[in-house]
Amino acid sequence: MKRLKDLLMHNTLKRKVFSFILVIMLCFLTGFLYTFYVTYKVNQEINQMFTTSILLNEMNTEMDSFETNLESYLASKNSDSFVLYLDLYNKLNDKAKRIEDDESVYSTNLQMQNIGMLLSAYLDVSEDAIEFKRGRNTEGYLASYSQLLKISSYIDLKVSILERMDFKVNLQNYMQLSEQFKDIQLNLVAIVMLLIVLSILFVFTFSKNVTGPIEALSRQAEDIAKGKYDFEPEQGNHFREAELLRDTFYDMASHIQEYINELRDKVETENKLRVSETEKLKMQNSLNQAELMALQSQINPHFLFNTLNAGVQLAIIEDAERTGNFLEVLSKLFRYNIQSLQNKVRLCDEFDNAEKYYELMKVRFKDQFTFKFELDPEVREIEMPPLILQPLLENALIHGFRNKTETGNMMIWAYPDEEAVIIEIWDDGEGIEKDELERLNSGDFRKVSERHGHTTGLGLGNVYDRLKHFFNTDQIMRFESEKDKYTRVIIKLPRKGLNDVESSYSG
Amino acid sequence: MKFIVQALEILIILILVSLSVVTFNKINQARLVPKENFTEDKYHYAIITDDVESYAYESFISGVDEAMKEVDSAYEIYEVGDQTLEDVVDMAIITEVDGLIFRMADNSLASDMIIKCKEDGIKVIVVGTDAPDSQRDVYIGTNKFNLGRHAATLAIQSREGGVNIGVILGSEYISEEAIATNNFINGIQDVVTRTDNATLSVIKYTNTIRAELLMDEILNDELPINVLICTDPVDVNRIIRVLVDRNRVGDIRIIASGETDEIKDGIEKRSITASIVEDYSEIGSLSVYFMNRIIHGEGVSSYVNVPFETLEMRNLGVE
Repeated sequence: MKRLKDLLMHNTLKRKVFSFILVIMLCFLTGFLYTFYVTYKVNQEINQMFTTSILLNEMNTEMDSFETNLESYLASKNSDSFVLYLDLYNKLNDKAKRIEDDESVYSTNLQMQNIGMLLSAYLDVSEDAIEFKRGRNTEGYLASYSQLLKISSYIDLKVSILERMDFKVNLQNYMQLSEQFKDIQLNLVAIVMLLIVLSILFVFTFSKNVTGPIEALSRQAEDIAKGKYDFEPEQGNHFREAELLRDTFYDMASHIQEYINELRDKVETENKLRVSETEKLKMQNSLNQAELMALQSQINPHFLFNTLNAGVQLAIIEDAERTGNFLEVLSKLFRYNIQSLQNKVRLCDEFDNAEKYYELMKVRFKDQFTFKFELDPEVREIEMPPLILQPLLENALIHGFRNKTETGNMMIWAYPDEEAVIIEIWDDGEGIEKDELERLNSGDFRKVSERHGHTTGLGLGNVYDRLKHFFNTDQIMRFESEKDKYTRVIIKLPRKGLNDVESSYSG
Repeated sequence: MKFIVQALEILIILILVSLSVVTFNKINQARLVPKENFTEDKYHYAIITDDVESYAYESFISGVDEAMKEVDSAYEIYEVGDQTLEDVVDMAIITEVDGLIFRMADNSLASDMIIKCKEDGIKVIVVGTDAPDSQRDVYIGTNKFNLGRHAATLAIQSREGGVNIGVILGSEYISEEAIATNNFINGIQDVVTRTDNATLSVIKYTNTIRAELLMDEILNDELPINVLICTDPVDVNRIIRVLVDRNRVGDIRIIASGETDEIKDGIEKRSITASIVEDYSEIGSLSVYFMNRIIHGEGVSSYVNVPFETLEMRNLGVE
């Protein structure tokens, strides 16, 4: 049963085409046979109509010839004529039987019977005439021949009567047949028309069956070309080649999808790498820029550094202890500042540098500012990029207290968190406008990257970039502020994976 | 769409099958007019007649046809005219007919031929006119003498005072025959001679000239007849048409023959006084029945008289 179902439902295209052509041919063969049958029937009927006429016509011709030969024989005893006479006698005798048996179905039977009898009598009389001739009875054979001609005229009469009657009957038959076959003809036309319509429908169904699955696959191929892989798989039983094509197509589509996914992943990875590379390059660029700026500024620091050393010695010689200390602190600050930005420093170093900066600022600004440093011992050794805290302090001094007259307080402290080390730089300066704050928190440091007033020449952008690349995270620096109240910069140094990042950074 | 196409295909196939079956049946039912199946008929009769056009002939043949259906026999008609009576009889003999019905205007003229047929074992019935000297088996017909007498009586009754009778004989009567042998005329003559103020002045035959021409001739010649006896109903209609055309209806009373619708209508309209109805159809039927009985060897009367009727206004319920 399954095999039969398979055979019926899962035909090959070859079998389908063969079956289709066979069906169409059978349709037209049936139509042809039908028409042939009708033609045959009509022909048969017409033949029957004229069977009698044909038979009688043959008989008349043979009778004419028969009489000529008989007369010739009677007149001259010509043996050739006698042979022909005998031949025609047999033929006519045979015809007499056929006529009496009446081969025609439709001719007037009684008249045929009469003609048959008359023909038999005609032949009998001819035999009498021959006998008389052989007996040299001239009067006898003349009388017999005369009687023969008389019977011949009777036969002619009967034939003419029969033909008249047959004509009427045949005319009636013809009218009847044409009436009957008019309907049949109409039916045949209808049958042929229906066969044509049926064939067209078969062609339509067949072409739909053949092209349907291919069209569906083409549409899906088009979808795939547009990058749509979420199409509904085509269902249904088609011919075997179409199913094979469909299955292969879906396999291919699936493979393409997998391949494309792989490519996408690869591209994504490559993009990430490229971004990372770009970031690295940017970082390198920032560092290079910073180092360039540092080098540019090193002309003065080196000169200043040597000069300061001379100043320190001079202060010691002149016993100016405070000046000597000031210059020493300044000298250490410069020394810290001119180190490579690719170096790693400890948080305590950063704090130490910040304190030195405070000491210098305290000489400059007296009691205008107070600084407070708190470093949790637990986080002292945390490594980080250099020159992070000093620029932030400078930034607070430059922007936070620019228009402020009262004493400004600044605090910087570092403490451990769950997975990070938090460094907060707090001041009670002018604060930051809300828009500005949002911009800073979104990583846009364009306006505050100006280096004016910075001893290090490093702006917030540079600090942020170096922290970001050092710790490999965007979420490293956050700003909190309230206008005219405070500003807090919170740096969150992650501990996890720090070593890996550090190694690539220092490298 | 697919469902519609499939439904359409099934519908067309069903129509095709039905149409094919219907057409096939039609083809098989298409038959020609069936022949006369002579092989099923027991006997072969022939009718020899010299009149194939008159009302009497047609009526006679209709009776023969009716009867033939009942006796399982076939018949053919030999017309004496183009063929001589001898030839016709000769053919009948050669074709081995079982029985011959002679329907000649004067069957006595065929006595020799009837004898010849009898010698060949053919049964012979004569109708219309008898051939007493011919050894015929049966005569069937109306007594023409009585018929003539009755026609003459009706003619005399139609006119008060003097009656001048004219007769137009149908094509079953032959003009070449001696008037003395015409029993119908003899019957008329018999009544006329016994009646005062009654004469038979004109006798015309339609076997040579059409009735309209004869009537024209009578009127043109102003022959003094006031009653006309016609033996053929077709001739009656033709004569009436001439009388109507020439506005002479009523001048000449008509004693007709037959009971056709036209004659009944004529009686109702008083253009015809009366009609003698000779039952030719009955004669035809009796010929076949008697022939069948003779062939079967049954004893039958050798003289069968078929009575006639009279059609008048009182018969038709018109007063």
